[in-house]
Amino acid sequence: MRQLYALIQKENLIFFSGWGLLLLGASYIVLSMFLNFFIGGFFVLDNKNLYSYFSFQNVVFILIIPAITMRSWAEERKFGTIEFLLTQPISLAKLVMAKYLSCCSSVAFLLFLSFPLWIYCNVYYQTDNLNIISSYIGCFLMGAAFCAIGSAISAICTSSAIAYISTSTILFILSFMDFSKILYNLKLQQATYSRLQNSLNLDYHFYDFITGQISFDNFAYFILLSCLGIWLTIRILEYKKG
Amino acid sequence: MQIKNMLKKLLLILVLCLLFILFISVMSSTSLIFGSKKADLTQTHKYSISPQSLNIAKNLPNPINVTLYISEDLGNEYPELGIHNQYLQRLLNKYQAASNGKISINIKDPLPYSATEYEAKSENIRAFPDTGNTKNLYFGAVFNNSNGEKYTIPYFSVQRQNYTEYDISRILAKLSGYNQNKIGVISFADNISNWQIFKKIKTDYPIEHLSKQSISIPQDIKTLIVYAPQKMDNKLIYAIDQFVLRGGNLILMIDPYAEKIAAKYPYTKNNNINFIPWLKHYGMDMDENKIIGKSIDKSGEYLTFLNNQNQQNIYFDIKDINLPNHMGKALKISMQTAGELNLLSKKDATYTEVLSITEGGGSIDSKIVKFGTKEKISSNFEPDNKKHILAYLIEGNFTSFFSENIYGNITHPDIIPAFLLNSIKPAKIFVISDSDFITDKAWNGVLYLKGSTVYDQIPTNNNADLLLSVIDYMNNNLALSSLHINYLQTEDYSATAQISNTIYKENKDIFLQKWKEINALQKEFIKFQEEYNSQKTTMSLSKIQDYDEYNRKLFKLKEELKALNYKFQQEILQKIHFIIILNSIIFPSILLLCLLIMLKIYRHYKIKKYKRELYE
Repeated sequence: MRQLYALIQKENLIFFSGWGLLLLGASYIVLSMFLNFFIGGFFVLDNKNLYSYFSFQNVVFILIIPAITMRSWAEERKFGTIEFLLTQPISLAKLVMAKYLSCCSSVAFLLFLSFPLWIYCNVYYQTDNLNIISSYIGCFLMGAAFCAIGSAISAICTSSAIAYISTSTILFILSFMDFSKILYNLKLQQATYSRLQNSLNLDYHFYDFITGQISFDNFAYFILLSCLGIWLTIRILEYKKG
Repeated sequence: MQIKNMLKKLLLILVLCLLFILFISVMSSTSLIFGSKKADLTQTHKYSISPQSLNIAKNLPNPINVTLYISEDLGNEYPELGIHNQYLQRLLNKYQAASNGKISINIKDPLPYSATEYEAKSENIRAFPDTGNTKNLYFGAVFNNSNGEKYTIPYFSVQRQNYTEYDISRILAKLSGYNQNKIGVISFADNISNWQIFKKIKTDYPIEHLSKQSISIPQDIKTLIVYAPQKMDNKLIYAIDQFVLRGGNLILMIDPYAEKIAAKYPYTKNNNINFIPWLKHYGMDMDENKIIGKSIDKSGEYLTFLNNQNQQNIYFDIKDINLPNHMGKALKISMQTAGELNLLSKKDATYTEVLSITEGGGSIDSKIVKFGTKEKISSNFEPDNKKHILAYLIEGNFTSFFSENIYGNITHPDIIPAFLLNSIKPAKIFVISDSDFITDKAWNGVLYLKGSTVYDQIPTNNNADLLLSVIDYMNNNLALSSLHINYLQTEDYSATAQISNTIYKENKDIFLQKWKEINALQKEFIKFQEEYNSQKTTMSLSKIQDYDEYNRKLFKLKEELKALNYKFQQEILQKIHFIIILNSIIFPSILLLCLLIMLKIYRHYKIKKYKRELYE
C-alpha cells in the first residue's frame, strides 16, 4: 500500500508541478464555461442542478482526458524509462493502478476547478445540492472510466499524439454509439429492448447521474468499464514485456 | 516463434471479444434487475411518481402503447426542451417499471420529409421550427390501448412541465376505462362556453349548455353545474330540485354579489326568487353581506379582496382543502370575493367541508370590498381566528323544496317527469361560495387562440383541477379524482430572471413613478380629446398649443422610460458579463494560483526533508 501511495505521489508531483497543470486546468475551465454559458443556456434555464454545466462534461472529457492519459505509458516508452519502471521490484498491477489513480486525481482536480461556480450559484441562486453532488459523482466516475480506457490505449501506442487521437476517437464512439440499430435486429420485446439499449448507452448512465436518478446499474457501468480498462492495460503491458 | 506470436495475438482478440460479451451481459442483467429501482436525489422529488400514479400503472387492464415523437436535435436546438425530454423519458420509465410490462414505449425520430414525420402529423403531433427555421421539430406523444382508444399530447410544453405526471396519469386512467357521463351547464353569466375550463372538462366529459329558462334537466345529464345563480326562475329551481331527487349530481357556484347585482335590474320577473331559501333547504346558508378574507402575514397585508384598483386573490393551500379521496399534494386554489357558508342543520345527508380557512381568516362587509380603497379594506379587516368554510360536499338523500308539482297534474316523461317528494337515489351536491374562481384569469396563465388544445393551458392555480376532481368524484371516477398534482413551481428560476428581478427591485420606485406620470398624463390627454370630440371645447390656438404640449410631454416621458429600460437591460448584460468573467477566469485563476503556491511550498518542504535525511 505504501508503495502504491509513493507511486501515486510521484506521478502526481510530475503532473502538478509542471506547466501542464496550468494549461490543462485553463483549457478545461475555458471549454466547460464556454459550453455552460454560451451553449448550455446557463442564464435561461431553470438551472438548479447546474444542468447547463454538467450536460457537456462528456464532450469536454472526450477532449481533455486523453491529454492526461496519453503520457502515462506512451511517454515512458518514448523516453525509454518503461524498461526501468518494469524492472523495479513492484508488481505491474500496482504500477498500472498508481498511474490510473494519478489520472483520476487529475480528473478530480479538474472538477474541483468548477467548485467556485457551484458556490457562487449557492450564494446567489437556488440550487439542488444533492443533485449537483450526484452530477459530480457521475462526472468523476465517467472521467475515471475514460482514464482507464485512455491508459490502455496509451499502453499500446508509442507516441503521445497517436495515443491522444486514438483515445479521443474511441471515447467519442463509446459516448455516442447508437445501440438501437444493432438491438433492433434482435427483435426483442419492447421493454427489454429499451432497457438493453439504455443499459449499454454511456450517455444514458451519465444523464442518470445529472438528473439525480441513480441506481446500482449506473455505478456498475462505470466501475466495470474502469476495471476493464485497467485489466486491459495490465494485459497489454504484460504482453509487451513478454 | 511467429506462429506463437500469432496465436498470442489471436488469443488476445478472443479474450477481448469475450470480455465485450461479458460486459454486455453483465450490464444488461444489472440494468434489468436494478434499472427500475432508481433513487431520486432531486430536492423536489421531480422524478418520483405519486402512489396514485403508481396504482394506475399497476392496475392497467389493457396493454398501453406509448409512442414518443421526439426529434433528435431537440436538446441542441432548445436546451430547456432537452431537459424536459430527459425528465419525460425517465418519468415514463417509472410508469413502465410499475406496469409489469403493460406499458411499452416506442421512441420515434420524425426526420424531415420521412414517413415518421407524416405519421407524426397524422397523429396531430405539433410541429415547431428549429432555431434556424430550416426544419420542423417534434416533441409529443400518442397513447393508445388495444381497444383502439387513443389520446394525444401534441406538444410537451416546458411551461406545463409541472403537470406532466398529472397529464400522463390522467390519460392512463382514461385508457383504463371511466364513466364518461354528460355534464350539463346552466350559467347566469354570458359566453362561459368559451372559457378554458370548459375546454379542459370537454376533453374528458361531454358538455351540454342549458338555458337558464330550462324547465327540465335532460335524463342523460348526470352532473349539473349551476354557475352564479341570481333571481332564479321558480321553474328552473323545480327542475334542478327534481334532478337532484332523481340522483343527479349538482355543482353549485354561488356568489355573494350575484343577487345584489340582479336586484339592480328592474325588469326581473316577479316569480323569480333569491337562491338563498333554496340553499337553506339543503341545510346551508350564505350571508351575502360578508366577504371572507385571509391574512398572509402579521404585518396586516391581506391577500383577499376585489375592488376596482386591487384585484387580489385569496389562496388556499393543501391544508385548507379536504376533497374526499383527493390526494393532491400541493393544490393551490385562488379565489376572489368568496362568501362564507354556514351549516344550518344536518339533514339525512353527510356534509364534508371541502374548502375552509383555519388560520388568519376573517370577514368584512361586502360593500367595503366592492367600493372601498385598499387601505380601507385593510383597516376594516381583522382576522378572527375562526374557521370559515367556503365549500361543502353534501352526499345522501334529500326532500323536495316544493310541496307539490308546480305544473299541477301535468307530466310528460321527457319534459316534466312525475313529481318526487323524496330522493329515489342518493345524490351529491357540491356548493362553493365563489363563482369567478373558474374564470380564465383566476387560474390560467395564458389565453390561447382558437384551435389551441388543452395542453396549451398553463395553469397558474389549480382551480380547474379542483373542479375537474369534483366532477370525477361525482361520476365515481375515483382513479381520476385521486390524481396527484405535482405542483412544483410557477416562478422562473433562471439566472436571467433572478438577475432582472434583483435589478428591477433596485429601480422599482423610479419605474413605478414614471409609469404613474405617463398614466396620469394619458388620462388627462384622453379627457382632453373626449372634450374636444364631444365639441365641448372649440379649437383655438391655445388649445392647439395645449394639445402639442400634451403630446410633447407624453413623448418625453415615454423616451425617459425607454432610456430607463435600456439602462436596465444594460445593467443585466453587465451583470451577465461579470458572472461569466468571474466564473471562467477570476475564480479558477485564483484557485490554480493557490494550488501552485501550495505545491511549491509542499515541494520545498519535501526537498528540505530529503536533504535532512540525506545529511543524517
